[in-house]
Amino acid sequence: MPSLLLAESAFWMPSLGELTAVGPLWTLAGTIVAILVAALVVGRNPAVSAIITMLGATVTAFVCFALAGRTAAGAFAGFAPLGGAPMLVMDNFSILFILLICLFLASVVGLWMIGATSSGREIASHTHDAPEFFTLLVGSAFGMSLMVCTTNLLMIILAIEMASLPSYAIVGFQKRNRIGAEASIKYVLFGAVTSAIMAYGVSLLYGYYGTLDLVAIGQMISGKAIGAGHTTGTNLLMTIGFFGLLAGIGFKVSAVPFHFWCPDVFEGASIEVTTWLSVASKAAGLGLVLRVVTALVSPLEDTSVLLPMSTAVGLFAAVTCTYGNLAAFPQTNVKRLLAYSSIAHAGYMLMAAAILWQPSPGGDSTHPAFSALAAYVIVYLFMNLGAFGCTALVFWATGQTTLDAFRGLGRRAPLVALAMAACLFSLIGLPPFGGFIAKFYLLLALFRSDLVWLVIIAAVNSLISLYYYARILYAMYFDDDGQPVIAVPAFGRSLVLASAVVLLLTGLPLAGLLKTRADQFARNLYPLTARSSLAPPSRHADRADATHVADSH
Amino acid sequence: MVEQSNLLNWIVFLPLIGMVLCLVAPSAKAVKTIGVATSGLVLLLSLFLFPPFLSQKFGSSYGTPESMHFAYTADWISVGQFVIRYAVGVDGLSFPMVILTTLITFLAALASWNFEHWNINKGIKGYFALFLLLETGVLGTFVALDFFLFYIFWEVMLLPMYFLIGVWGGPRKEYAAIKFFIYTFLGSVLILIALLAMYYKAADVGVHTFNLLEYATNPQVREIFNNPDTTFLKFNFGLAMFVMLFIGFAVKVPLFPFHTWLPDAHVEAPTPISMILAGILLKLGGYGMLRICYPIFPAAAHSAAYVLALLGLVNIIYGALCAMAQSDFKRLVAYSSISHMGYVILGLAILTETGVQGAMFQMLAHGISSPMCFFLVGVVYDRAHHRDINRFGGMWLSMPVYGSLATLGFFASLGLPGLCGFIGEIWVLLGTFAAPFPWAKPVAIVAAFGVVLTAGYILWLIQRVYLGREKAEYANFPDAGAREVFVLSIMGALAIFMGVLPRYTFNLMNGTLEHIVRLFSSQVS
Repeated sequence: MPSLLLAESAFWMPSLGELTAVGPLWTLAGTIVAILVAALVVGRNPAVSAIITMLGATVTAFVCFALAGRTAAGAFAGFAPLGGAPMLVMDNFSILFILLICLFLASVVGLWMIGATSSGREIASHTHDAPEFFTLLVGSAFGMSLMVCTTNLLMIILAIEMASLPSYAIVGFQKRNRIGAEASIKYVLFGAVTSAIMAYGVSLLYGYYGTLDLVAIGQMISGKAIGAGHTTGTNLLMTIGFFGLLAGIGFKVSAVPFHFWCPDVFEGASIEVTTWLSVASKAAGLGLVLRVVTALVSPLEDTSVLLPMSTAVGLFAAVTCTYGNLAAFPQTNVKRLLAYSSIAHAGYMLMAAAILWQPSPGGDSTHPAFSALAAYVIVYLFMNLGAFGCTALVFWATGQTTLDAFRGLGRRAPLVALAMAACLFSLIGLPPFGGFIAKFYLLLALFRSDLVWLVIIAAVNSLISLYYYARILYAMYFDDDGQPVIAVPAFGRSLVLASAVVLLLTGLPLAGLLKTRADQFARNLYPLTARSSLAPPSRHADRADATHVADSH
Repeated sequence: MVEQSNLLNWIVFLPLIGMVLCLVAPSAKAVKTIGVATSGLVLLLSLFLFPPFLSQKFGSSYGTPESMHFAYTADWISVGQFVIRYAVGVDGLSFPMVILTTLITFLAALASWNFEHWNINKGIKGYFALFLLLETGVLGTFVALDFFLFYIFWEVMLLPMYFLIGVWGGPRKEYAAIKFFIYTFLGSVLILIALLAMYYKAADVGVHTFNLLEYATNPQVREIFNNPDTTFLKFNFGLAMFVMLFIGFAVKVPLFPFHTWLPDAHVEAPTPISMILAGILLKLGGYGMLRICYPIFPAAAHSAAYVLALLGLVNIIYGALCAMAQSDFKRLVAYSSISHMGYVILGLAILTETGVQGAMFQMLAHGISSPMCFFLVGVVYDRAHHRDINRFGGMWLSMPVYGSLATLGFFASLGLPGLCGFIGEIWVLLGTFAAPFPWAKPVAIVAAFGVVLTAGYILWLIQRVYLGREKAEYANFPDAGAREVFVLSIMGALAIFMGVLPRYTFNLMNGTLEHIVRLFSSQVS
């Protein structure tokens, strides 16, 4: 059994190759340091902190591009103390997610800047304590990046905590805001409980399997590891352990039943923080779910175990998206409504994790679940950026985020209403917007794995969601109570219009490019390149010529 | 190798260019001119589609390169084996629909010319922009040959309709708009599931395509789709797909019991939008069935024939009875639409050549007579500002030209021999009577009774509104103006032409219909 007691081994230092392989994480950490140092050196200037954050995000994005060539050749898994499990992983999927997180970080900072320069003093957020705010924001970004870069149980706990603790603080950042403080407390309490459950589950797993590496655990469960002995197969201890682990991850994804924090936190936090959490934490959580699930099941070939697991994950996802859609019906606060909509979309994205029962193609061919999720997250980022951006613009002009504030927006701010309409149609999943294409790719992947019941549930849920998204459209275009025309900062208008244009582009001309890129980033993924050489079993007994290697793209 | 033609691309996307021009136009007059000019130009372009159909070039079988005219194919999404193409083309099935669409849209644009006098007359740019976007969506749906492309255009129609009804409609416009949206989206969701299932089932036999013609003609695909052993979630695959697709299209037709959105949508929509809704959008359901359901799943069509015929019959009788009970002029015309579309479904259900020809002709005839009726209602509503039939009377005396044209229009709707409505109905009835099913003759007899009911409500309507003593409150109404007479005359002339010389209309489509009927009579369950 591998030992992690440092006293018994030589002092371990990572090599230069390992250090450069995780370059994006270094630059994000460096950004945090830079913000703090700048506050000391230059003084507490909100503009300076914002600019440093933007620069840090841009530099990290460049480092990601630079590494993309290396990860295209093969995944990196390293930082393994002598004899221990690899702690960090950097493959195509991680690079994509870190890239998206940086892009989103830059957008949220942009949103903050618009808010800081346009709104009145009463609702101006975070300008006094800007250095601390941006430190916490980049800190949570760092944690989220870490979440998609690991399959080590200890690192998963660390990453989730690193992502969550700063989030707790920035939710309640506005000191005089009672609702924000309440939201923050709810977030902390809920997060603390799920973290405790997660730590307990992880400790059970470590105790039983003797290793922190999920890939090794997966091999032991499937009986492939040498000397696995009594740890083969499923048992109660393993189930409890994994439930604990999934509780922690499910909290970040806001899957039912760990979603209760979501509406209150989204309503209470300031609009930039809500925007940030709605996309980044869910995307990181979903990336982690896929990684955990793939690490566990990739060595498995026994469909009698895979199928119930797939059904369980699928059920989880179906309940999440149905609950999110139904609970959004009575909402009149647009922030809360969008919070429930993000729960529903997290449900759709979780369905990608149910595709795991199809034996994963190794090496160069694309994994359908990762590809579908990558495409969906890319489009989801722009949909939410646009929707929350428009809500932010309305909030800064009118001081409210209820449906009443949106009434007559088609007349009061036509371009903002147009961008909001485009984002709403995309969220429903209607052509010709990117939301439809992303949902279509997801449904394709689900159908290909014979998960037809999930396809039907996803389609019906799109139908259900139409109603509450249409209520915002109704308020904007069909309802008008004579509220005055609102002045919207030009930069804000351009930001939301740009999101709408991206959605239109990914919906029609660039739909093929979206799939190509998503497939490209779903190749050569970490646990899949190191799988056994046994041929995957066929899906149906009566399909004599079924080989997945042949018809995978 | 058939050469690519750009004509269809121009026809489909020219309204989009018009839409952009409308949004930047300087004045209301300019917007209206651009709207009418664009739809007129599209109509002109679509006239260039006539030559192959006038010379009866229908090829030797369904879907062959010789039978699809003005085809254009381009790669759109191509990732490994997953290929979606932008494939468009017209044959005898879609060509009459395209002509109908361009014509009715042009007439509806003319009908929108008095926008400033409407109840809600703000936002003319938005109105015409959405109007032209709708035209693109409809034209694209008719010419698309790739199922995914078809679906995209199908959904693209929803967004403008939602706004056109919901912003510029009558008192209950928001309710009507959201009801329309939800109903149609429900149908679309079912079509999407069927689309995915069909793609993967075809991929199972190595045919990776979304092309509708391929699905209908490729022997391996036909074999696996119509095989009684192929299953979809424990149901027979063909039947499951047929039912899902049929419900998706039946919502548009609208077929009982999915028809309840229509009276609200038609009544609350402004006149030109009602014209487009009744004249064109309802035909999309029938077109979808003829393009997708029937050629690709003939075995399921045979098993479902009885149920479909019954539903068509219910449409005819129930629609007519509801129409008879109405006191709102526009609602009556809306229910008469439901009744007329029942003949279409009946004609399709019996699976004979006469039936299918009759169904197609009825679609075209209704596409002329229904917009005419809605425009007639609009003319009266513009002057009287109400639609209560019982308050009207003696309109023919106050407005002689209008009255004559109105009588012509309503007689066309009634199915008077010599006008377009008659040919469609009689073809369907003859086809049903002669159909090789045991239930066919009783169904035909009951359907024939529907003709009496139709005559009942139309004649009673004409008597209540146009005949009788002249009423003082309507005595000073201006007669139909030049624009109104022009719109009505065009439709009236077509109604007479199609009724007296139906051969020319049949010649445009019979070749393709023959191929389609051959596709599903070769497979008897």
